[in-house]
Amino acid sequence: MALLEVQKLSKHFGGLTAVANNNFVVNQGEILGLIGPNGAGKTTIFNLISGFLRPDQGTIVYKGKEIQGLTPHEISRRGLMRTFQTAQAFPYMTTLQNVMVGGFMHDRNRKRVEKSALETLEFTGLVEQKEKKAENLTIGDSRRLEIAKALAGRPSLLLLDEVMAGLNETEIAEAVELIKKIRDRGTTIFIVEHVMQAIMSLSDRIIVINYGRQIAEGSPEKVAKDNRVIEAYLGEEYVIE
Amino acid sequence: MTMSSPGKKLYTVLIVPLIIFLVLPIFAGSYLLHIMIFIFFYAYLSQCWNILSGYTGQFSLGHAAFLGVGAYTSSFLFSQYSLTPWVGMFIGALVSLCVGLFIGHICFRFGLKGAFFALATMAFAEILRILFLNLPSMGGAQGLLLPLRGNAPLLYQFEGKAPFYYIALIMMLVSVAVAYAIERSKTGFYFKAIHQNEESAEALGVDTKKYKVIAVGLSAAMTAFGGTFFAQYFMYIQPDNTYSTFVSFDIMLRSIIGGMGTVAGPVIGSFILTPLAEITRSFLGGKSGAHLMIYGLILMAVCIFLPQGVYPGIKKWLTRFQSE
Repeated sequence: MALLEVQKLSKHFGGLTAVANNNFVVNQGEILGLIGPNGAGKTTIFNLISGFLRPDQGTIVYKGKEIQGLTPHEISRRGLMRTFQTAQAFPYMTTLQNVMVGGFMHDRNRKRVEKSALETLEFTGLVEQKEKKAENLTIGDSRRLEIAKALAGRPSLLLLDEVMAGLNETEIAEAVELIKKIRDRGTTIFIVEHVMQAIMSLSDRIIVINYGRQIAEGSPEKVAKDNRVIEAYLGEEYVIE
Repeated sequence: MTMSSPGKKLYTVLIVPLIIFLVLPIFAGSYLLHIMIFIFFYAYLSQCWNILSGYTGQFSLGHAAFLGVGAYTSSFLFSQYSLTPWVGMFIGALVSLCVGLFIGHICFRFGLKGAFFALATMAFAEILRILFLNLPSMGGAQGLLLPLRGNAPLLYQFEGKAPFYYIALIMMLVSVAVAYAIERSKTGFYFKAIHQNEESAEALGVDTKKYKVIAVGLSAAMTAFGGTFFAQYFMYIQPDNTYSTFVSFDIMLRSIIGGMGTVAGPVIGSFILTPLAEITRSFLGGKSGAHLMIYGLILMAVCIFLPQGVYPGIKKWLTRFQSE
């Protein structure tokens, strides 16, 4: 069942076409990967879906309702939440307080919000850092916090924008486990990632874009063998006929 | 959220000065009372400013506008319609609330941020100052002289300073209580989130525009009560001592020096700056503006040695002291 359906989505910046006529669905319960070379338009697609940019054309249907044109907070309140590529915490709040901001979306009561924020910290492995100011966290922990903040809002669909950038091998393995755990709790995941081994092992399906256009779609094995994908990443000369 | 132990201790320690404040008028002379009144009064105004600018991070350079609206509304209603300022101050707050919501709405509707919002508020206060200078029905440049009724508590008029002292004290305590309650509430978390990362706040479901407008409205309405107090204390207002940019600076400097975005900051800032300003004024009498030079020096010192303000500086120092 389609949780999110994108049709004829386009976005131009001046003369530059960032996203051109994209059509895809995100199914309930899956992990969908979105890959493409730098500047392919991946983050633009996330910005369009989450309301930070308005599409020039096309419709975005989430849970059966069109959401293009809504503000970001309206979209996140419907359960479609995102993380940012560069970790965007509230630097002078503690880790716990950061997560509580997300938690206040569904509840005014500070005690209850604090309690569930602690559970979220436990789940994401941050509970020992709860009193630390966000500005003092390591890269790995601030990526976790980025996810934890969004989880506090109990999303049905979570857009993860390069949450593994800058992490070491161990941290990547932990992040992969965490994302699987989030999906197993019932959150559908749409993920942009440059770390190939991670996205290949995580995703049920992958969409590949280049210059704003969809060039391939399918299982990780299928897109890895796709000539258009190899060409986009490595250049024409690497395509084995 | 658990408060750090030095924080907790600081709040307990506050009982002592509170008792001193309560009994002070019995011993104090009129000059000391006058200074204390102004300490409380500016702590109150600065706390109102702090709710908008310290917590939410929307820097207002024009808080004099809300002070002036409050002062003029209650004073006009009293001198023209004999309406007691006790009622007039609520009407003033209501008018100021509307003015605040209006400014907030147009500024944030068009996405004014940082310096641009600050300049817009400053320009707005200046517009009001010039407008009132040229409004004969509001007394123009001569200002409004409030009709004297002697000792008339029901009309917010008193003989002697003690009643004003207690009113100012109560106002300060109420503003501290409001800031404290906000800080611990959802609204306070949202205010701070907007301050620290607006985009991230939006992504977490915060209606950033709405909460910024709420902050302006609340701050504006509260500031207006200060305007009525000012009018009743001096029984005379004019555009240059209400809507003036210097008044805006007087209000905000106390929070900046004491510590923006903290409950105690505006109060501590007022205890540092207000006596200094009053003493310089009385020593250097006619040379107006001398107190501003003192502000400048203190501001420089704070910027260099305690960039986040005196209160966060002390707190940090206490924490380090305890952990050693």
